[in-house]
Amino acid sequence: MKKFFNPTVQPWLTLLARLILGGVLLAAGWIKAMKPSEAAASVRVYEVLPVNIANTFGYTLPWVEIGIALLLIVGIWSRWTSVAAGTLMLLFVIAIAQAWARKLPINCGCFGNGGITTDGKVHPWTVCNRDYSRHRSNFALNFYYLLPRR
Amino acid sequence: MAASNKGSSGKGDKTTRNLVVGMILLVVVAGAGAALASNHAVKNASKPSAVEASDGDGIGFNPNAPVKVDFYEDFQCPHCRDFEAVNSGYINKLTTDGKIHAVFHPMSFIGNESVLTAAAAACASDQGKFLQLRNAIFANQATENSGVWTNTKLIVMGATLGISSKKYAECINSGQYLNWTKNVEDYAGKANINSTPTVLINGKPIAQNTYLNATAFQAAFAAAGVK
Repeated sequence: MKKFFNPTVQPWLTLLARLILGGVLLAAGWIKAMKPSEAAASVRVYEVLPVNIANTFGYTLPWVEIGIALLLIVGIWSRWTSVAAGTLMLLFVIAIAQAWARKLPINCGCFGNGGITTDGKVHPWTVCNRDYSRHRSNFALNFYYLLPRR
Repeated sequence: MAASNKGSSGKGDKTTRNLVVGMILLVVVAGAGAALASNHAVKNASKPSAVEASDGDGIGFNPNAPVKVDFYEDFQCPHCRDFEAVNSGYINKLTTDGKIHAVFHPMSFIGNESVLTAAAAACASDQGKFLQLRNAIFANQATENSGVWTNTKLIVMGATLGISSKKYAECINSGQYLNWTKNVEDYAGKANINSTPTVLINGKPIAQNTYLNATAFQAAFAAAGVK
C-alpha cells in the first residue's frame, strides 16, 4: 500500500485521472450541447423522468457536465468536483442498468446520438455494455481520486 | 500540487481562482440558460397557412379524412431518407388522393441545415408544393450540416419544382418560418417523439420494423382502414 501511494508518483496519477475524467466529460458535454433537442430525447428514452422534467434535464445536463469537466481540468475544488462527477457517473450507471434490465431499445446517448435504436432492437453488447463499461471505469477513476493521499 | 502553491502568494492566487471559477460558472449558466430559452415554442411565430395549431403546428392535408397520420422526420436524418426512398410514393398518393388526414412535422434536432430545410418546406407549403419539395430534399440528402443546404439552393430547387411566385424566395430569405420550426420541435419533444422517422396512425406509433418494408408499412395503413 505504501508504494501505491508513493508521494512523488501519486500526484501525477491523480492529475492523469483528473484529466482523463475531465476530458471525457468535456467531450460528452460539448457534443450534446450542440444538439440540445437530441440530448433531451436521449434523456426521455430512459423512461425514468416525466417528459417535461426529462426535457429540462436534457437541455441543462450537457452544460453541467462541461462545468464539472472544466473545474476538473483546471483543478479547482478538485475533491468536490470529483465527488460531483462521481455522483453523475453513478446516476448514469443506474440509468443504463435499469434501461438494460427493462430491455429498452435505446442508444446510450452519452456522447450524443441518443434515442431509440434505428432498428428498434435492444443491443446490450454493442451499445449499452460498451458505454456501461466506460462509465464503470470513469467511476473507478473517481474512487481512485478520492482515496486518501498518504 | 495546488496545495503547494497555496502558501506562496495567497491573495493573488485567490483572485485568479475566483476569476476562473466565475468564468466557468458563467459558461454553465449562460449555456444552460440559452439552451432552455431557445428550445421553446415561439408564441407569435409566423406560421404557414396549412398549419394545424391543434396538432403542434404540423403541416396538414385533408383534415376531414377519417384516418389521421402524423409524420415526424428530420430532413437530415439518414433513416428518414431510407424510409422515404421506400415509402414516399405511397405517402404522396394517400395524401393527394385525400385518403388520409396527413400531418407533417419537419423536426430540426440535427442542426442548422435541418432548420433551413424545414423552414423552406413551410414556404413551399404556402405555394402548394410542400410534398414536392419535401421529396426533393430527402432525395438530395447529404452529410449532416456539411453546407449543402443553403437558402439559395432551396430557392433554386423550388424553382425547378415549378414554384414561380416571388413570395417563395422572399419567405426563405427573410427567414419567415424559422421560429415556426421551434414550435414543431418543441411539440415533438412534449409528444415524446424519440426517434425519426416516427409515424403515428390515429395517434399510435407503427412498429419499428415496418419502416423500411413497403408491404408491412402499407399493411399497417390497411389495418387502420385506409384503402
